Amino acid sequence: MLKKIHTILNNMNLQKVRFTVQLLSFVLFVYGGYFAIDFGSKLPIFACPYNKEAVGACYLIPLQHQLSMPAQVLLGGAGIGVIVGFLGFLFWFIFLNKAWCGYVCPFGTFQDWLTMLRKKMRVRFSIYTQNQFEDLSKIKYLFLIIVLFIPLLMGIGVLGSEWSASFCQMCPARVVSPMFSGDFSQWIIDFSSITAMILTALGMIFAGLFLLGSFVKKRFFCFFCPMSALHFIFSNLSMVQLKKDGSKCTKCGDCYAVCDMQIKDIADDVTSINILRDDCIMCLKCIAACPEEDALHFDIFKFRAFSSTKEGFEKRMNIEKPKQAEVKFSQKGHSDD
Amino acid sequence: MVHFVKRDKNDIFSKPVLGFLFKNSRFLLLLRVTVAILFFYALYFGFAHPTRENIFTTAVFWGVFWALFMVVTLPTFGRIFCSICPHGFLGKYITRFGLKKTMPKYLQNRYIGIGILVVGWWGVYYTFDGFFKSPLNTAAMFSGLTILAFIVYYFYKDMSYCKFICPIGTLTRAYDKLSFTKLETYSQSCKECRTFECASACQYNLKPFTFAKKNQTDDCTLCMDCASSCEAVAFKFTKPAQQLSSKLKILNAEVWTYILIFASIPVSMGFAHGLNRSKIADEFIWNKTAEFFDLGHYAGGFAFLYAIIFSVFFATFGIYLASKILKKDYDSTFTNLGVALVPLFIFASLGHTLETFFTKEYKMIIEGFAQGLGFLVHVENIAQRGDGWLVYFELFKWIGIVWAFMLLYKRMQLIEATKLRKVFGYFFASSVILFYIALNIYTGYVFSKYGAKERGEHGSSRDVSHSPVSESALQDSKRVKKNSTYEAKKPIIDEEQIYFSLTNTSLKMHSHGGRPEAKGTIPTKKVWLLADTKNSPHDENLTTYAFDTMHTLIDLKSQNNAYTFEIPKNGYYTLFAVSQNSKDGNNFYKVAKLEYLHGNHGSKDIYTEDIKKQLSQNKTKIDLIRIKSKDEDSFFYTNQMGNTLTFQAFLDNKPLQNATVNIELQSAWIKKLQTDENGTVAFTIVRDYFPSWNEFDKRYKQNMLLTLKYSDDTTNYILTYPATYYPNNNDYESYGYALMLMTLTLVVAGIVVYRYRKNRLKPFKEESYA
Amino acid sequence: MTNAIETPKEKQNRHKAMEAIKLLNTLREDFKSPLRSMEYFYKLFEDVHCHQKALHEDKTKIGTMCIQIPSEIIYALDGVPIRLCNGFYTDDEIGGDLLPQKACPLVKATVGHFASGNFSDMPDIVFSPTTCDQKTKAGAVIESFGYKIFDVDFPRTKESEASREYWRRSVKQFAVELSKFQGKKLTRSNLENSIKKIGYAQSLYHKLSDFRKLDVVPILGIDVFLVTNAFFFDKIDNWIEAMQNLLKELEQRVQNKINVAGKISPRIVYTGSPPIFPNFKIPQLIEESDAIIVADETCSSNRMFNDMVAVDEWNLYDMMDSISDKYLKACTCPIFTKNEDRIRRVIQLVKAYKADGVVYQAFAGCTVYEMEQRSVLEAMEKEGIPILYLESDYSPSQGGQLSTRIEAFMESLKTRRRNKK
Repeated sequence: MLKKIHTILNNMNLQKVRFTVQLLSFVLFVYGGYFAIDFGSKLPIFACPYNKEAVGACYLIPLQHQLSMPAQVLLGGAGIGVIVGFLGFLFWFIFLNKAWCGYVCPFGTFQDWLTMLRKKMRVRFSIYTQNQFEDLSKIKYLFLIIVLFIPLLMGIGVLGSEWSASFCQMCPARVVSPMFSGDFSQWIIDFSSITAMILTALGMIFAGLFLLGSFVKKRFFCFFCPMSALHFIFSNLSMVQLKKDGSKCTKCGDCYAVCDMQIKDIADDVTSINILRDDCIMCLKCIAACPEEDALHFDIFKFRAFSSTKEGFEKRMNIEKPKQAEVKFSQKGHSDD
Repeated sequence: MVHFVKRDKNDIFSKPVLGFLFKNSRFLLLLRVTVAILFFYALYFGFAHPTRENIFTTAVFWGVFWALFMVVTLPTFGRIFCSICPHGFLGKYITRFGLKKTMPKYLQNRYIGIGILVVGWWGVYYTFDGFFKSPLNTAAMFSGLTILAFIVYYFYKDMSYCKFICPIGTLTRAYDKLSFTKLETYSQSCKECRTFECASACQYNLKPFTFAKKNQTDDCTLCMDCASSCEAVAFKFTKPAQQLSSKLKILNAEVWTYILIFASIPVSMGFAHGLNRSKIADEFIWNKTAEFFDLGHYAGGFAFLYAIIFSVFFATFGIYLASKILKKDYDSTFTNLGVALVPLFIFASLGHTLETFFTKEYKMIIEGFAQGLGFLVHVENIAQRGDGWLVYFELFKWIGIVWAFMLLYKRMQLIEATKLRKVFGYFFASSVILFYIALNIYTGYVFSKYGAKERGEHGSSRDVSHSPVSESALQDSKRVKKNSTYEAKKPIIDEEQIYFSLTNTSLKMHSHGGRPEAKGTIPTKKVWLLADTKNSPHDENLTTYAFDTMHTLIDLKSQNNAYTFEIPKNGYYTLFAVSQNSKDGNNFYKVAKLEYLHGNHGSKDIYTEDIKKQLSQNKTKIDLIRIKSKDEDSFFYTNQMGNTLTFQAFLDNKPLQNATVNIELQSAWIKKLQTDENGTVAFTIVRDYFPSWNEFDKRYKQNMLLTLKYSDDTTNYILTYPATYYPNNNDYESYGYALMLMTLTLVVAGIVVYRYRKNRLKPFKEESYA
Repeated sequence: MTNAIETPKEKQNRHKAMEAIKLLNTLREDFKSPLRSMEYFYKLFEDVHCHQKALHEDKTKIGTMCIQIPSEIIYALDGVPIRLCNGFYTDDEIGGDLLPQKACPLVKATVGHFASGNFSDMPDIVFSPTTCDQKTKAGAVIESFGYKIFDVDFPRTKESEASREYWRRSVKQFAVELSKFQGKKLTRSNLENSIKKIGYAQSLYHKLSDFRKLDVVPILGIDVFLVTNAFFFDKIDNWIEAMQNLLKELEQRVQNKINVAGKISPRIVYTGSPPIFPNFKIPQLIEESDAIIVADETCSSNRMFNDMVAVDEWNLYDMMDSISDKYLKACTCPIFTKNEDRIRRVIQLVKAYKADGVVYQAFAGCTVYEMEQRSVLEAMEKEGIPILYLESDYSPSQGGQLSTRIEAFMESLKTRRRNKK
């Protein structure tokens, strides 16, 4: 019986499942407000509350507001409130680990839809070189530092109140998310102070880069997301994990080739068991693309919810008995690339 | 002995600057001589100038060495303090010429040193307040210790003074475990050694070649004699508290040091200098006990005593229970787990010492040393008490607490027991840490609830931060600073008008009485009823009415001229105050109205059209209602400059035409309008806020007051309606620029990406040589 | 019947036929329970090598010197890939006059074959990846005979990004060159179909391998070598069909519990220089010593089929990149600087197929396999896996010494097995 369940799970068409889950999550988190659903403000995804009908708020907003309290208040009793809020965030996070990024985050879903548009237009995607990858992947930690430390500097009086929610002012999600409800009111540059002007201008620039970048590169923004950095710090606490059995791995690189985030360690690291890296969005495409039995698996506690199997691989790659008709070719025609 | 060894990367001796500082025997000699000279000079100075004018002696001893230097070097590089100590330095020479007897067993007791420290120093410090502030006492104490040290060095060998008698001998050995350095040898080189120069060079009779295997350095004081004797000695960087990750022989005396020093410093200070400064200081048990024994003057000593009792109790009882749960013997559990307490004192002390360095010690050290060298210097401290960023030093003790938990976990891992037992054992073994956390939280609670003693009542009271008043003053002072160039004009008054105000202008400090109280109670709002800047209307004819969001009457509590009402839900709350009087044969019917929109971010209320419904009431004869526009769709709607406000006047619930409506803005803009046949009047709020860009505050609130006046045959009716308005966000938010910027970004990025991708057809690009 | 003197070509054909038929008859007769479906393969080899039957008259034959040339692209461009690695002693002797005596016998045989120009399916163009030294140099020698050779740059390291990009570009150049030669354009759907077809063939091999994991193995290792060797030149559709029949028969055999080996036959993993038909000397000796080869790590067999191509976006560039990655990153050929992947593969095979020992055979003159011997031996020792190292070449004279050593090794393995029980 258990074997049957495993077989069904391992053979699933990941693309379809993922698309369905992403669509449902998108509708829920972006339009849930119409149905008066409210999940609170500790969500570990970019469910931006600037989108008025959103069903909750991204955790970075209350975090910034809480940390910007005056230092004496913060280190007094109010600090407990911060810790409680953080535990709330952790509570949400523990269920899905970084799969929040790959399956639920509406911003990520939007990027995947832009990718689908690009595929339809038959435009090929861009990738980073290894050097670019290593340099750029540090940027998310820089944003996380901005999220955490600018409010603290406000709390001790070094920065004024125009820096409040500074990351939100430059976040492209603030500009883009309200678009889903037809609200373009965030397409502004706020000239009320120099700081606000610079930050909102950065916001517009990042939004523009986001739109273009997500079109040419798969999951462009996730590379720079401070929420991803925050997730990764606590990823070991979660109940779902991405694991690898290095002895079964042939380093064929299939997982690396399909990975949206270009994580090389998936293919090349044959010693670590926990293969979740800080860029990973747990989309599980690597498991879907691995042709070895049980080399990569997605565990919920100790239950192997989704493992790589040969059978699953063959099903997903549509390697079935080919038709007897010969392959078509054209002598002088155009290639349909 | 080896003459050359390839040093590891983490060996301090292999580094250019640090290696010189730690290994070069000539430099070390020079350093120690300097310190010895300084030490004796400070002693002499203390005797020569025994009064408080002498700040040199206290600067040397209490400014630099205790506790700053010790607390900073112990958890970092280790026992540097012992390395440069003049006692040890001179003691080596004294022992060379001395009797070199073996110290008798009864003296080979580390508790002697601990006892001198805890009782002889800390006990005296707390009981006799300010005893050690006197240079004479300081000098006398250190001279006494020096003489004792020299005697012991002369009689006994192996530097037994350092190990057993010196008050901080065991202390430095105990806290050295946190450091990120370790002295050991390259075991590969030692394998074939037959002569063991390192052991023969060691005046402490230690065996450096065993340090690596034993995972500890015993009583080593980093004198570096062994390093000079053989090149195989290494002084390596490690992870902090690296020793504690593996099995380690820990002495009982070391764990008792942790407990007693923890009691003497963080806890006693928490009692004597912390809780004792709160308003309810007299209720605490140590003060009560002191009163009972009629020794109130020595209450500090009692605080110290209770601190020791509490700490020892929690430590021993907690570990006793833990040992029973883990089914191990008490002694080994005591040492194995007790060692986890090591960060508590160090970090609490580190935070405090660094903070006082910036607020007190800096000045004391510089001026003191200047005095010692013979000239006068005047400096100011780097920071003031109460400066914002100093608060972060209070975080240090929490770092210590967290690290103590982590260390306890690490030590637990080395014990063999079932997981469940370990969990419970962990809980009980950490009772001391939990006690410390509880003490901190309790202190915070006491101060936030009862406040600090007034200044001057008990010497210096530092806890300004815990009074509730200053906190809002902090915020408001910033606000006031910002608005200073754009001063608020005088509030609009008419000696016959009464009006509601959201702020209490009679207080010197700006106070917004409307902050909702703690969660769990129903939030309330407080407003004031004013007639002019000085008096409040004490009119017997004054009646008040309040309506909630559902247009039902609610209670209005009043105290003097302040009115409080409950605001449980989001929506519009309306207040009326009616006053009737006669003057010179004229009847006046005065109404003060206030419409307050309450919006709470956490509330579940939804803004529907019902919220905007007009309130029709019959409590007052005259009424002025603001007609809410279609754009208002949230509880956080504010009037903005450039918006048009529409009002409708009613008399006896019928529209009132030809009444005068007077509009006065804070900037002294005045407009007089007449109501039309429907009783409505409309006007646009002018834009009157044009500061320079640096001072522009988009949340700049201004007040306006509308006055409705109407006279019929019998009475004169006056109704006041205050409101606030803000800058219009359309004035500073630009869609045009945003769109331009976005388009520009897309185009430029698009071109860059396109060119970059086209470049792929070129053959391999170059490698950069950077 | 003519009295004409035999031409050199005819003589060569006769000798090669003799070698071929000797082995085929051994397979047909000397082993217990031969498979019926294997008859297709025996016949195939007989036709090609004994009767010089041409299989691909209507298509362009693209010769490849090594497995690194992607067959998917060749099929997509309507060519037929013919792997030119040669196993005949006859050709080895011919090549021995043109190449140094100490050179790798496989390369000598290939060069000899080209020198004789005696092909049943002559390749129209040959692509030679720069893998091992001998094959790299052999390209120029073959070109001097008048054949069209195109070198494909193959990197000698595979860890770095630079080598990955280098190989991707080589594959792209290869595709461009081939499509120019064929006069056809590479299209998305063609490539997709060929990837899927070859993937299907690989999946059939995997199913075949699964049978060898059982305790009761229904097929001889030497038969499997033959099947995979057939893939070098057979029509792929025929091969697929024959494989499916074979699988069906094996299914039957498993149900009937037919064992081609003995009860305590040691299970062997064979690794090293590839056994190319008809140079199955060593596998034959092994299986004649009552052992059974359950898995192998050679480029003529396992390495061709082991790794399947995974594609993310089915557009042309992504497919090409995935194909290149598979041929480079998964390759365990010893021509790379580091060989950890090969060691891990062998260990994984031993574990998965429950093997008792490893036989490592290197051709005398094959520098790369000989040099890797030490690290592989050390790794096997660390894992506690018995390993036998052999050197051989194509000459038939070595039989005696080799069989002694092999038999001794098998005996020791049998003893081990008995003791374990």
